[in-house]
Amino acid sequence: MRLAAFIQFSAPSFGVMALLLALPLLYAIYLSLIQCTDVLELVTVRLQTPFGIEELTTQRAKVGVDGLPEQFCKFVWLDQYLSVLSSEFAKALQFTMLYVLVTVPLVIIGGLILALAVNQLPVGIRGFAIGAAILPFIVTPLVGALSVKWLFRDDGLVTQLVSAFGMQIYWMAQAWSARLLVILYGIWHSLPFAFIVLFAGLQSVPKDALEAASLDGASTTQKLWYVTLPHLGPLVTFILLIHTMDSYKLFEPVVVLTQGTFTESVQFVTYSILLDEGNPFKASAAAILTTIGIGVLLIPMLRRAVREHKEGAA
Amino acid sequence: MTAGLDRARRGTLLGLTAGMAAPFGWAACPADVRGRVDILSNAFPAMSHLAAAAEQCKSSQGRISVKLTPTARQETEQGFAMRSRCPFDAAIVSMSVFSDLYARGQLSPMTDLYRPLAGELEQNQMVRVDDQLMALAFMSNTQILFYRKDLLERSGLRPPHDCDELLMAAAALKRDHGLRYPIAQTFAKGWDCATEFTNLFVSLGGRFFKRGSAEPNFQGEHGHHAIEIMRAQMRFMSPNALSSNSDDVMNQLQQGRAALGVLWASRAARMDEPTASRVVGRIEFAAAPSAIPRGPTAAHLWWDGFVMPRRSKAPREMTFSVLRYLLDPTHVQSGNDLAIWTHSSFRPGRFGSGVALAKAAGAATWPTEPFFGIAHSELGQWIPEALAGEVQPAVALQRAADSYTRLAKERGFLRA
Amino acid sequence: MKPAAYGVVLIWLMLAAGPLAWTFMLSLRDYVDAFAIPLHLLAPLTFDHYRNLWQAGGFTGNALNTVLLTSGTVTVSLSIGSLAGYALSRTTARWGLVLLMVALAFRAMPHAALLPSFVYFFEAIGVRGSIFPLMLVLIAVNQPFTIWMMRAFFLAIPRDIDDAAMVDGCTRFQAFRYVVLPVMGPGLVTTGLFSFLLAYNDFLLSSALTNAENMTMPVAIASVIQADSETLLMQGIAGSVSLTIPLLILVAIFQRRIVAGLTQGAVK
Repeated sequence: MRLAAFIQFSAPSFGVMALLLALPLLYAIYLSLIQCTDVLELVTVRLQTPFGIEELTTQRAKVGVDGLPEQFCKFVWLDQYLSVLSSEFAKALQFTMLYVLVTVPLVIIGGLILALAVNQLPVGIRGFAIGAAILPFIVTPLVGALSVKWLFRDDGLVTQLVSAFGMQIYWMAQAWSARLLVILYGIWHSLPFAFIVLFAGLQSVPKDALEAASLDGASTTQKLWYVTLPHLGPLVTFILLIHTMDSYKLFEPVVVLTQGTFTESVQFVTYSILLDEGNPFKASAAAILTTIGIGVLLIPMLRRAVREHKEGAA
Repeated sequence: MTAGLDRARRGTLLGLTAGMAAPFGWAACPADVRGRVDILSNAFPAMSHLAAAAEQCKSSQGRISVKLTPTARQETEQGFAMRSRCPFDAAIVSMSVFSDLYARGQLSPMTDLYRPLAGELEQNQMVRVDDQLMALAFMSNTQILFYRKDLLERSGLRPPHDCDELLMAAAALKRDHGLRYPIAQTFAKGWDCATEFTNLFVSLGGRFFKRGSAEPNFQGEHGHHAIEIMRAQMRFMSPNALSSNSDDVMNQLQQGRAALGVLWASRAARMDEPTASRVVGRIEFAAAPSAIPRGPTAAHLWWDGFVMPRRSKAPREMTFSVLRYLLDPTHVQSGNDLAIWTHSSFRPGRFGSGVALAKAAGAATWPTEPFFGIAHSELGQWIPEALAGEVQPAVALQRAADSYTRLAKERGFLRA
Repeated sequence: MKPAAYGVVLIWLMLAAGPLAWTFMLSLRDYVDAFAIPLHLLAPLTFDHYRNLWQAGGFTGNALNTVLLTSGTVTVSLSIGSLAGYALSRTTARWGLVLLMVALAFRAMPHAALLPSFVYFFEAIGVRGSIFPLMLVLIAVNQPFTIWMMRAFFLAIPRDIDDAAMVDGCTRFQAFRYVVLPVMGPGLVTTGLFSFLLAYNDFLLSSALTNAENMTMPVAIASVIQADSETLLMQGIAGSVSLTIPLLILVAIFQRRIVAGLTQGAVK
């Protein structure tokens, strides 16, 4: 394809990405280095409310000639980063990593088992089984997380069923159960993706290799181990890459199930510093740290993907 | 939730709608409304009632649009913070949001607008700072004790006046009626827990900040004592106490699992709602137990009212005449049971006497320093750690004080 | 093996559909029965929550916002994404691979990392809360996997077709528009589906960048649930079910497409 045409075709899309994905990131670097505050003055005022009158010594913003509060901004360099790292971010990164590392193998193994199982179903009902099986992945994550919450609430179905066996577990009230719940949600949500990819892979296992193995007297397990699984190898790498990317973005279950208690995620920390604390500058520092985090996780994987792609194309 | 939703955990007084207005009708609409006047509010029944009143004034020349949304607090903060025009002409805010907006210089004083009308509003409807009229308060709220009258009577007890009596009553109810967790409190990590701590702390006589400054003073002995009281109460509370917010406490009372709890006065009527409650008619109300015998009640007084932003699209006179219309006593009378109104024509019914009870028992007004909000949220993070036994109370309070100091410096309240 | 297979599938189907089915049941009960202790198997059914939500609750407005947002996002995103996907499928040059990897890197970026800049900037220029900035952001966020997916579909169409068209005098764009695109139906539908899902299911960006009148359905649901009122909570549950029903229909109709789409990138 000629260069001119290539540029014309890809410019709109890459232009939009550069403008709305790359530029904000650069802007965030700038924002993370400054802090703007209102100029404040100490005053003693008489406050009259429906409940009476009181003398109050307080601080309020100095209002400038234009009727707007005065603000001053200054470069604080790495202060925001230090502040974020010493408060919630470290714990958030820890839990996010735990979540990613625990869900990845379980999602892949679970997806594989399900794919092998569905593969044994008669073709007629496969369609229905697949459709129902992928629901957790398709459903709005917010709704999925809420559905899980309503099951595991203090007066929810699961809590009451469990208490029928004598154990009273308040899922959101202690660290281990809250974390387990978020991880279970993660597996519930992502397993269908692994399942679909591996199931499609199972359809393309070379039949002759399987037949040859059968003729050689291989058992089902041996066929699985020596023919099927190696064939699925590249797919597992693919799932690994995509699932790592997506699970790092952990957000809805943290917001819905725990609101940041016991389980925090890096996206949640950025979001809450921005909207709860109302500090876009500190939030930008968290945003940059979040991006560095996924970079560190992914760069080795991306390098391998590039290498494999080149080998595949060659 | 995150995202700064209105943290004043007050629910509905009654699930009634504007149908109540029928016998009293509506006041006369303001004559000078041209175009649209936009008012932002959250969705409590009293506000719905006022929104219905606003709807009556729709004409070919103009209308009053009251937007009811649960995310009103966040919307208000965003809108009022805009350095250009605020998208709303007025908003209904709780007093804590008022303190914040006022300290940021984002409110427009209404003194000039009220001067020609001097005497029309009652003292109880006005919020003045140094003679500047900054807000028009129309309803109030507080926390009160909800208790199962039938169970206490059967055990021969009167409603507890202080926290020691509360514990004794809980023990008696547990023994006599087999209630495993007789007390339910809003100790949920975050806003609720910090509010309960604040109630007890102030009832003990504690000061949050050193006189005349923003330096933290809550990590001392009053803070310890407040935590001790909360821990003592937790012995009679569900193990899930640290996730219990107002909804959960209400549910426990409504389902008959708890018999004692401190909750918002505005939620009183829900106890008699047949679609939600199993204890209709059996719950009574009293002032929240004080932290120490003969001390002031461990509760705070809150108000909600109208404020105007610095810059908006509708002319200020027009907006103000709309606010006067909404504050008309006719609307108080027609919606009498929907809130605890501040106007003198309010007649408190069975569910509307909370504020009077709290006032009589010496409740303080919720702290109005703008930096109190920061202390409040830091305490909400650390007090639960102490309550769960993860951290020593002294350490938790110190950590809260340290992170408060850091954030207050970021905001400029403390010198860096 | 067979009974074990059936067992596994059955267990997963129960786990997959369970929470959603339970939410549906909750939406048909009053609060006092939905969260009663102990729970009863049978309880009086009520459609009040749906009625309140859709009629009085203003959910219709939220639904319209969602429709506006998703249709705008999908059409624009597919258009510019297909162009780029086509270009990347027809090039053998080095930068093709580079750009693909750049797109992949963008796909990895957590959306929250972009929020502080957007919020600060949109507020400064006074557009924060309106739907169009959000649409632009979602279009941008949509691009990486749209490009990857469309490229994979275009690769399946032999180059000879475009080459033949260009030999006959078409420009590159005419070849794309009149020769290749007409046979891209399945690819467009599949990619469109995933674009739709991303915009429809979005919560983080929508909740931070819309104000009360522009709330999409997920944001509206989240806000009523946090509002500390059982009536609103039950409406939120009804809203969750309402939000999910179109997705169930989509899965039923387009199940094959969805599977094809998810495996596209994998089986390259």
